[in-house]
Amino acid sequence: MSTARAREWTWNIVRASKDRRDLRRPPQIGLYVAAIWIVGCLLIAALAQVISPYHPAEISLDARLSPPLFFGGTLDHLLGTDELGRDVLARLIYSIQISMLVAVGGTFISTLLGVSLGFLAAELGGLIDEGVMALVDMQAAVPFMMTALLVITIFGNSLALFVCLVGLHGWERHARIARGLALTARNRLHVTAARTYNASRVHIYARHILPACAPTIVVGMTLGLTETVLLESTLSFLGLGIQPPMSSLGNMVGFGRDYLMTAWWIALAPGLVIAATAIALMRISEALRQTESRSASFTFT
Amino acid sequence: MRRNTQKIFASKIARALVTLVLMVTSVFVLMRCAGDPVTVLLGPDATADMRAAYSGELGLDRPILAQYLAYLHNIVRGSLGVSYVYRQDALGVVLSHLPLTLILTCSALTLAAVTGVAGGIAAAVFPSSFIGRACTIGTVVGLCVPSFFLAIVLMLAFSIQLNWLPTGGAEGWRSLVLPAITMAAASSAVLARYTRVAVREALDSRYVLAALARDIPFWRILIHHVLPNAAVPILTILGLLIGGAVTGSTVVETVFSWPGIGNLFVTSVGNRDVPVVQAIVLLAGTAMIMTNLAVDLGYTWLDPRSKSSET
Amino acid sequence: MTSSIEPPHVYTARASSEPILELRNVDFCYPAARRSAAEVLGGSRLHKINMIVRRGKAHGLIGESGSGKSTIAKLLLGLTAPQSGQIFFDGELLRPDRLAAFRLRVQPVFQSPLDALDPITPIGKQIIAPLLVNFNMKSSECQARLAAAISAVGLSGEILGKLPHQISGGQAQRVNIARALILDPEVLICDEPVSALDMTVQAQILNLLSDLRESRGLSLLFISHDIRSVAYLCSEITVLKRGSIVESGSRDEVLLDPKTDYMKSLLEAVPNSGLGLETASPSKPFSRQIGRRDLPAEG
Repeated sequence: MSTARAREWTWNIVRASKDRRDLRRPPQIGLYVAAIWIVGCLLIAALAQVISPYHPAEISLDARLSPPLFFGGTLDHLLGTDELGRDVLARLIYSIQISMLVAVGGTFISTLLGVSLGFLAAELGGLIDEGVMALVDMQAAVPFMMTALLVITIFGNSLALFVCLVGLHGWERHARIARGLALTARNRLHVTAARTYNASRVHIYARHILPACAPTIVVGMTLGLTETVLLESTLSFLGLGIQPPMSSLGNMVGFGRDYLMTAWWIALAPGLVIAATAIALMRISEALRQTESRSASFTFT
Repeated sequence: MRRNTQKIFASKIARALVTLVLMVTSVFVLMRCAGDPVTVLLGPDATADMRAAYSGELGLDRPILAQYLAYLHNIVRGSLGVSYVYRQDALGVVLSHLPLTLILTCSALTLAAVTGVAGGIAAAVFPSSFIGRACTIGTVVGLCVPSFFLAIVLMLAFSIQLNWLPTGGAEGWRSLVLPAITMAAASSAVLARYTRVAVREALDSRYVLAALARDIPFWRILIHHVLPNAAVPILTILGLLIGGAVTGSTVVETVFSWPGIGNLFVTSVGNRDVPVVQAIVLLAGTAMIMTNLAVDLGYTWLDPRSKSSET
Repeated sequence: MTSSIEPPHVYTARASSEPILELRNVDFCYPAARRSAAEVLGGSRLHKINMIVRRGKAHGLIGESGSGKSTIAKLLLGLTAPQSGQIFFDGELLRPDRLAAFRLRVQPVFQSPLDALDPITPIGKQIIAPLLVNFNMKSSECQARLAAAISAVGLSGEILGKLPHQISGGQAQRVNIARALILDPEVLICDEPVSALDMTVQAQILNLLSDLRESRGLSLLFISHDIRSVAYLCSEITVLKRGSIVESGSRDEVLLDPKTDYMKSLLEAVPNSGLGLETASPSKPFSRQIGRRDLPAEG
């Protein structure tokens, strides 16, 4: 390579980023696909009882381990059947319902918890602030998986407890973001103005500070949703989350693992749904972060 | 300046200690919430003698503060109860599983560090080329595909279809390959993501522009100007990944039946073997907090700018 | 200052020279942790501040940035408490338990009008927010008071549905004044109310404040670094330097016969010297009354 060409090449690399920044129009098609996928999943979750072709626990011993449609299967069972002849598609639909319930419920709880604690820390300051931040530090320092497993060991498992447990995941990020935003927002002039006409703290937080923080919190929620989906499926996969007879995407993969040699589709179908959901959620949160100009910094957990 | 650094070090160490105490305390609180700690710690089928001895040791009739102090004392002595599956000292059981986890973790992290940093640099330097795109897509996939699913896909492909590698166990290097790759994937994706941002930022900076203007060849700029400046965030992430390795290994060890701590963890949770779980949580939590602290201190040491920043 | 054309008002029944706000030996220093915020707000420590704002008068507070003007405003709005010394309102010591009642009678007008409005709430709702927060008031009465406040500041009703980014800075400052007036206060604390506005709008707002003071018997504490607007509006002036009062007295005393070098240098720093008051050119936005009614000696 000649020197001149080497120089040109080098300059191109350095210039690339700036060009890219100008042309930073995110490829919209991916975003639309992601949004459609998520809306689809939510619809499936809402309508599981209506659209499911079979009852998920319906056993048909004649059609055990029947493969999916294009792999030698029949139209009766589009995604094949499992070892007991239960329809994989039906089980998948019901699993999506449970997984979505846990993920949405968990994310809601963690956002509520995190934002309230963050606001409390920001407003009251002093010892409460220190205490909340120490809790946040601890939660961030100890991987959540470990906390979850400890709680499951001690308290056993039920759906309600599991949703609450998943809801404990990620609250520390929301708390940190909410505290930081509130500390900035409470010094904004319009908040000071509200204070001068006797607005109560609750009023100030509900009407002035929360709306100012909302966009960033929503971005955090989509990120949290991604992580919650993965956490739920991982715990259920290990057999420590959702317990049979209920099935979630994770525990479908977990049971399908035993039949990997003979019936790969049992594990593959729910696994693909999990991966696609996570990718779609990440894409959406990425897009939201780009539109939200005053976004808080991306925090690593 | 020097005193300032010392002050920051002291406050960070104090913070880590507070976190440690909080973690130990919350384990204690959780155990007490669950009911009679003797049953919890000794299991349902303990003899009356054992129960009496243990409740004497814990001092369950004493006030809660004294119990808490006894609990701390036990932790310091390393006596964390007896596993009621293995009928041995829980800490000993855990430590006997440690070497295999360390082997797996070290190989996975080495792999992750090499591929993650290389991929991140490639994605930053050639953002629109094929390599760069592949790295970006690989990052997203690595972050979003849960490791248990990746493990199953790899197993399906390399063990069942191609029959190259064993599906599980811990015999020889061949059984290490798939678990290490699976475990490395997620860490590598995280590393690649941060490396890309850090390198891109360094490339955009004025000192690189100045170096270019002086006609310094690109590879030298990369080695002498870009990488040292990108090193701090990369090392931070790497440190965090090391700290989280024990939990990161739970899924992989379970899927590939790798008899390490992660596997023990999941089995013990399934058996509700509280002493073992408690020992693992305390051990891994301490390791995590210590690595966090080390990263924090190293960060302060490396980057003079972080001295002025707030928490 | 003539008070012959005072309109009837509840609070003007009493003698107009009576003190309404008084600072006695007030010391203040930001705690170390908040010092950065203090620097942002241009505040600093205050030392032995003694100051009286009289009923129905406009009191000017002049000083360089960082001299503690805004800190005095914060103290007088009850946003922070002095380390020592007392603040009296209407002869009563300001205490935390009286703060809520105090705030109904003392309202602020801030420097940057657009920042003082919540960016995502329609103007109308923001103006009546003080009523909703403080009183359990019927919506018809709210609307009536809203209409009155709006017309008092010279705004039309169509602005009520707009969002703050859809209106101009001058309109925003009028909205802020309307929000302050809706509680029917006795004192307005105006912290640099015109310095973020351009010249013509500044004049309009100053005239509005002046008219309001006369028509409603409002007392004004007018904080500014701009000597010309203070000279135009205020009958008494206090000069602040690095947290201490260096000069205080009637406008003529302070402006025409400055005793300290600091005040002299401030006066010299005014472009178009001679204060731009007496020799103001016709294009000067607020020259119409100056020099005739307000500065008879030099007219």
